[in-house]
Amino acid sequence: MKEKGLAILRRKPLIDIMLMSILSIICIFLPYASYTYKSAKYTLSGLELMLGKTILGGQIQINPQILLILAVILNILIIALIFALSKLKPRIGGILLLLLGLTAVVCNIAMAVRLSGMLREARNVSILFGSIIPVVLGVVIVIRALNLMYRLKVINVLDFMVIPGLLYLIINNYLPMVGIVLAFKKIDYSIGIWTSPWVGFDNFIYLFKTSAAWIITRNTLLYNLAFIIVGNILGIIVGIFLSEVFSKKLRKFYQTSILLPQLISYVIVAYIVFGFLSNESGWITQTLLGGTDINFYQEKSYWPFILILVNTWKGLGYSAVIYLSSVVGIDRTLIEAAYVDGAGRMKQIKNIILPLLKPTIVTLILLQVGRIFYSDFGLFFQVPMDSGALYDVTNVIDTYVYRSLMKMNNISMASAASAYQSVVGFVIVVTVNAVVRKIDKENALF
Amino acid sequence: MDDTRVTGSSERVFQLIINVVLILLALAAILPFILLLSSSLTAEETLLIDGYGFWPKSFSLFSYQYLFIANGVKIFKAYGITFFVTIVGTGLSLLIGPMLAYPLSRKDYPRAKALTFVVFFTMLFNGGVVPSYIMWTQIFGIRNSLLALILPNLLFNGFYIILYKNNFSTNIHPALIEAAKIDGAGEFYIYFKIVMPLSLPILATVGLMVAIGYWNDWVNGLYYITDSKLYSLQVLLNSIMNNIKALASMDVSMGSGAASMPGTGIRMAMAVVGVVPIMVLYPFFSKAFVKGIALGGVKE
Repeated sequence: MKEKGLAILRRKPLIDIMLMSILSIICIFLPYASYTYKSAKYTLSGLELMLGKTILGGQIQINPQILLILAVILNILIIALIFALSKLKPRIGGILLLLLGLTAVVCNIAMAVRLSGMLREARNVSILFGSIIPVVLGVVIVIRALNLMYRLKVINVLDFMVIPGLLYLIINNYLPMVGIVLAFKKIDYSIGIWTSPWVGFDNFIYLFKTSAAWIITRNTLLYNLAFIIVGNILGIIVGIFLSEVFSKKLRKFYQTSILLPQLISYVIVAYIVFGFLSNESGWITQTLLGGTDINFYQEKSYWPFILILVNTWKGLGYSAVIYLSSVVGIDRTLIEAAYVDGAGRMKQIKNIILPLLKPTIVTLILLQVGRIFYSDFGLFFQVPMDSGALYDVTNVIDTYVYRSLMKMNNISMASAASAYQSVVGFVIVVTVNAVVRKIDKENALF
Repeated sequence: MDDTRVTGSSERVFQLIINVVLILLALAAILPFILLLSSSLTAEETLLIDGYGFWPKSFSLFSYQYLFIANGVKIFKAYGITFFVTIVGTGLSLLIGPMLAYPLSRKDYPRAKALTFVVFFTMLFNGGVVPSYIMWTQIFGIRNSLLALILPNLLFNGFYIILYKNNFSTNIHPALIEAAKIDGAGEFYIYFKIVMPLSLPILATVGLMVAIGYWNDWVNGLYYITDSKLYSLQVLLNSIMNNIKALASMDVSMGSGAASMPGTGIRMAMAVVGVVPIMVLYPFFSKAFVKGIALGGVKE
């Protein structure tokens, strides 16, 4: 006979989970971490961390650690929950158990990570079993909770399939979103990211006081604008041309060749551009211009053209193929009918193909406008070979963030610029979409 | 029949124009690669006088000798790391990416809508470079490890998941899954034995895009790898490009002829070393590549 709700729990109480929770709590009495100070080894127990302690002869004052206290409270809650479980709906009970277990694990791990930052003056800081055991037990509790929910049919096998992929998106995409708040901190690795002080909008004020903020915004927007216009016009022309080539073999040859540059990385593109523009041996400088004095890598005025050219060279195949596939999708009978009515090639293109391409054009441009605040890091970093003389015309938000973060170690600037890009970029995507939705619902992205 | 003759000849002119334009564009796409190749095969002395050219005036294999004999270990190691990262990364991607997408395509999966939004949202908004960098280095500590070349950003993105999902929705008929269930097949069995084999085309297309992404990646290397032992091919190319000192510090016992700095031809040879594998394979995957692009799959 099938039992209802959590009745099966009553028959077999979740003693294992209770025991594990109790054990996790007991672990705070065990050594949580160790460090050496003046060549003697000391240990810190979880309890000492919770209550606060002064160590290293007064050098470090450890405040009561909320994370650890929270972890203990969560474990106590788990025990309480198990007593209440039989009265709860299986869905709510299971999810609560899972959440409590997960948060306890995260708190313990975060605590351990934080500790090495806190004990920076001490040497040989290492994490001991007092912190490892609760994490392991927590993971077992989580697994047990999942198992329970599965048996109660709260979750099914499909949920398990989703877990690894979702975990990746949470780590790779969602955690950094939360990390945007770091832009409001003055980050100092030596005290640790968590303990670094909050500074409000200081980083942003600091960023927008520099002339760089204006230059990178201008460059990012204008280059993208140029890329969108040039790329789409040429893409449409080449796409239509490709579709009109009689010979299938020739069409394939053109298509494969034009796509070749799309296949390689910007590092290689930089080598190729160097082959043309290098001061001593570039083909353009030496052969075409016969040993000119122009030093391309020092001369700003040429770079807007060079960058647009390189971007077109690399990206033309991409947009051409997209437009080609959309032209090929057009009903041929329409074109034939126009032909019978005496429309020439140009007329066919103008009156039939282009209007039918409109949805593709709008969608592609929309996608590009939505990303107008982002630029191709490779194009602006590799191709000008990071030449300082060119920064005025080659620095975009992405390269600025890289240089501030990695070269100048100016994390405040980098995180402000990075957050500026994320937030404005998001606002642009949503706005563009909302506008399109108003005008023409069919073409909206979401 | 005067009319047709006019269209006939204008048609010929039209064909001529588009073919000329397309040939010029194809040449513009190919010739730069010829410049690389020819310069790498030209003797250093000629390069110093004439610069790079599209035809080697004086043929020499010196650049390749220098690269492969004196610095072969470095280069083969970089090749090895690139191959390893590409294979493992693509494999992992094909294992967990479609597995996330498949339940989202199932109409009987209660969380499909909410989770699809979770996936889709990553295409609209992202935390940016700095939080990612801090997270990967400070919390996960992946700096100077192979994981740094595999995990950040490249494994898969929301767009690929949506591609998979749409493909599963249109190609896998629910009745098929129903039938398998009635026969007693479990969800994992259905996924691996029915859904996967039926979806090979999309798996191949997206897998190719992911693999090209891994092969060409240098950004993760730039951010997370400082140990030259872990340089992948692109990262090695990048470090040589940006820092001529890296080249000078390579073993120069081969002797460099007239040039005090043996960089001119070797730089181009290095780039050739970087593109050759992908160019050799290109004819075999060009069809899938075109398909991937038509789906909107690649944009670096």
